[in-house]
Amino acid sequence: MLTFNMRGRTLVLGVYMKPRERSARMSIRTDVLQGTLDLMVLRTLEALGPLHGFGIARRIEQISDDALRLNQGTIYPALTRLEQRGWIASKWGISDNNRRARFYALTRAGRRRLDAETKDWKRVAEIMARFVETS
Amino acid sequence: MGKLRELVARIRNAAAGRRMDTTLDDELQSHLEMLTDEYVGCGMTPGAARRAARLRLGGADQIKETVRDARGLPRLESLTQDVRYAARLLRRTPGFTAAALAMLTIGIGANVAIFAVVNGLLLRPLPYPNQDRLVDVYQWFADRDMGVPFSFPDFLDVRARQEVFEDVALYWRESFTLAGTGEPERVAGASVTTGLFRVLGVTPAAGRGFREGEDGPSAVPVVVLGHGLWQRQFGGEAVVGRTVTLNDRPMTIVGVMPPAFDFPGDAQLWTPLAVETTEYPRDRYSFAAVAALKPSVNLTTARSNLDAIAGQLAQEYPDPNANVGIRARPLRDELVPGNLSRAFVTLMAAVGLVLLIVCANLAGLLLSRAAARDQEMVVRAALGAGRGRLVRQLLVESLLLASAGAGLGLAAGGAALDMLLAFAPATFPPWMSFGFDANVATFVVVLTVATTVVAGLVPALRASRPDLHAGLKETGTRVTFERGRLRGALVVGQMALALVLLLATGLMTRSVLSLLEVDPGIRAEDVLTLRVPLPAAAYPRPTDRVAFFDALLPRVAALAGVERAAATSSLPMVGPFSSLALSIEGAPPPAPGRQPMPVRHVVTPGYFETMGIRLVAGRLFDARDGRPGVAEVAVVNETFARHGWPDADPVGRRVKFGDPGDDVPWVTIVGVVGDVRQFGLGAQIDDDIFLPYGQLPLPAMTLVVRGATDALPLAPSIRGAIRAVDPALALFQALPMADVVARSVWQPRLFSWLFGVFGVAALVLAAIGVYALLAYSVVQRTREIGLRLALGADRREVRRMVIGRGMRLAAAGLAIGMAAAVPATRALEALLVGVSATDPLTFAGMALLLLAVAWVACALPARRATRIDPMTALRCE
Repeated sequence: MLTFNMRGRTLVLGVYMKPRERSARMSIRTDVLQGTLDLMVLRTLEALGPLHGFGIARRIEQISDDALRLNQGTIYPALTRLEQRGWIASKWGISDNNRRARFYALTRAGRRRLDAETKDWKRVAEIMARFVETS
Repeated sequence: MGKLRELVARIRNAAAGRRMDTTLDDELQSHLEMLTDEYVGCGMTPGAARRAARLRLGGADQIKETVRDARGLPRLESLTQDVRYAARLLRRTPGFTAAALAMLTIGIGANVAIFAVVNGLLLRPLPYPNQDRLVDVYQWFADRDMGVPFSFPDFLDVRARQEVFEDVALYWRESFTLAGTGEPERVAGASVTTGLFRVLGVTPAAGRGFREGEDGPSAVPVVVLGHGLWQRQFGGEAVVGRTVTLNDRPMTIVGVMPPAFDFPGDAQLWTPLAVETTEYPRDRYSFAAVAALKPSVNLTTARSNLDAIAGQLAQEYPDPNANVGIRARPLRDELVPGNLSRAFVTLMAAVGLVLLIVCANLAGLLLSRAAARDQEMVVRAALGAGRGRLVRQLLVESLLLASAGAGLGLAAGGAALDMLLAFAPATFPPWMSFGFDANVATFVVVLTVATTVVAGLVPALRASRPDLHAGLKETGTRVTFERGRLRGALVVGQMALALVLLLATGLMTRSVLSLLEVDPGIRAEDVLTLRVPLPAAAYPRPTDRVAFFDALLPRVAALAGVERAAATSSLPMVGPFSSLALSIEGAPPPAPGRQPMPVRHVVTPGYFETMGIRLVAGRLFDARDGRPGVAEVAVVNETFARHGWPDADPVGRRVKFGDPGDDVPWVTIVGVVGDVRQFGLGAQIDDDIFLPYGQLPLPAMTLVVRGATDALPLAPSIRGAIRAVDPALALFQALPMADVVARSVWQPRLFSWLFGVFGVAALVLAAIGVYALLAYSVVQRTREIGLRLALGADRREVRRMVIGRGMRLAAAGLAIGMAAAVPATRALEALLVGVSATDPLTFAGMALLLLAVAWVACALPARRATRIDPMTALRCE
């Protein structure tokens, strides 16, 4: 599902690609499990309120201290997916520098989702930490 | 929950189409601008900023594609894409599409029509709940190797002693005149023993069936109505307990059957079988019997039980039961003649062959089309399409063609079916309907898929593995050569199959012709037949019936246009036929069960002259024969004369219907007539004995009238004459004798016609196959031929090259076809009369026909090849 989708597929950040189509057009900086991008997007929207795609991408780069320098375009399939599942909603508006942009905001269902996923993620991180430390 | 919402959203998006794309464009645009602003803010030039922004964002098209994949139903969308593309492609090549569809319509349509018939004959269950356990039971003359109906006393014994059947019942088809509340109606019905409904497993919808003891000598006047009759005569009101008049006798209605029950064959009412044991002794075999096996019993067990009973009867009543057995077979075999269903299965095989030819042709066409699309496949492969995707695309094309062909084929098949049934409707039992049901639908689907796979798979597999290197360089001669070999093999196969079908046609046609040459023993032209059954109530005494014909025949003979008129109890090739045992005076007593049993006909004087039956010895009947006080006489046919009096002239000898010691009069033979093929043109001739009407005035006679010319227009005046004698008589359809004779050979005629159609279709298809192959190869080798011509080759040589290729293929097909035909035509042996299954004349003739047609099919491409202008050929690629 959203977070711990360990189905053995090699995934490029945020993009759920079938194994054969590996003539990948996105540059691969880091292999991160799919779904973490979704979590990051939801978190960002919770913290910053309604934001457009550019802003979300920028924020994610910032928070990760530029460790994740991604092609910003990878955000869009994730946004589409989240919107289809009803966790975010979109509306056209005007940005800070007077540009017309599409703003995404967290829905109530999205908020609930975020809480649930955050708990799960923390728990897994704890368990993994114990493993890493003991062995 | 989220996943479900996503699915719904995906479906909605898939339906919405391309509208979302523009929104995404705007979004990406604004994103790009915001990034650019940022870079400009960091100090870059606008141009450099824009470039960097674009790099950072990523390719717009790729983003759109991933979003699209996230948004809609990608797999369904790509499939829809394939279908739309295939449809467009087919529309763009109307010639190919039309040809392919035409061939598929023929192939699939023919298959569907024949399968519908086979389905009705073999696969559809009988309309009775017990259908798997129903058996037809009959008696068997062991030494004559002949099946006969049951005698009533034997039936009673079987019914009492058997242990293997739920019940066993007799039935006797009759027609009744019913006077209820509506118009008096003449309906088909049956007299049955009380167990019939139980045997068939059907309970009346209203009232009851028959109770034990209501049949036989103490039969009660009750009747059970069929549903249709009930609706028609009584409008569906409650009728149980009411009285109706049946053949002028009052009967009480005791029950009504559910809809769609009409055993045996069209029966609309049932009444208990009334039988006087004196009238129906043990040696009179008249009744059809049906039984239902007990659930735990199989046919073998039942047969041994019946054999045991037959053995007991043979001991208890050596005369007549000494050599009389009792047999059983599944009811379906009784209702459908075995050779008919076998013939149709053979036909299915033939039609299957035609479909194979169609598939081969289609495969060939698709192969050459695929060659033309090499370029396209190569480019798609280079762009990343997997082999599976390419194969799928091509299979979708084949599937689309096959489905369209199947649709058209269904329509064509339905029309063909109507035509087929118009050919011989009367001979199929009424409970067989040939509509399209679930079986047929499944068959069509299976056929479509099979056609797709067979015709489309090989071209698809070949096309999807294009040689990238050569393909991009636009040569592809190597690929063509490979395909040429495969296509050549296909053409050879088509030729072989076509030959087999042509041989079947040839053999069947010759069979029909030889049948029609058989002398029926009568002169059927200009003779009209008309049944005039006299109801027992109106004509209770024999003298009444004699009086009727005494009044009628001169009247009819006096009509304008009529030469002669007479009547018979059994019309040749129609019947009904009764056989009776008799004893020949002076002959040694025959072994029990081996008495002569000629077919007994009762005819009015003038019958032989009317039917054109020739006199061989003695004299024919005259007006005195059969009159009261005159000695009893008879006329026999040549075959009986030969059998009964092997070295003497039967004229003047005497016979007796019974044993020599019985108290019945001796009958003197006064004449011998030529044989008549009573049981059909292809059947054996049996012993016949003719009695004058006065001696045995049977009620159910057929009028035969010979006209000076065609007799059919005389029908109304004949009917008028009948009505003048008895206005209340119900009349049946008048049928020309020539039609009756033709109908008796309807089977071989039908099959030869059908095989003819398929043979011609196969020949045309095979010819098209050869033509297409050669035409294509000429086009492909245009340059080569142009080169040859330029280098000085004779145009005749070129022509010979092309025709040579075609004829070599035809010859190969011929050889294979000949080899395959020998076992194949053996399957037809049962249907052939007068010609062997390996008749050399037919084989040679059809082989020549095939070669001739192949030659013609080669001629056109060959001519085109000789017309090639070397200059243009060498110049253009």
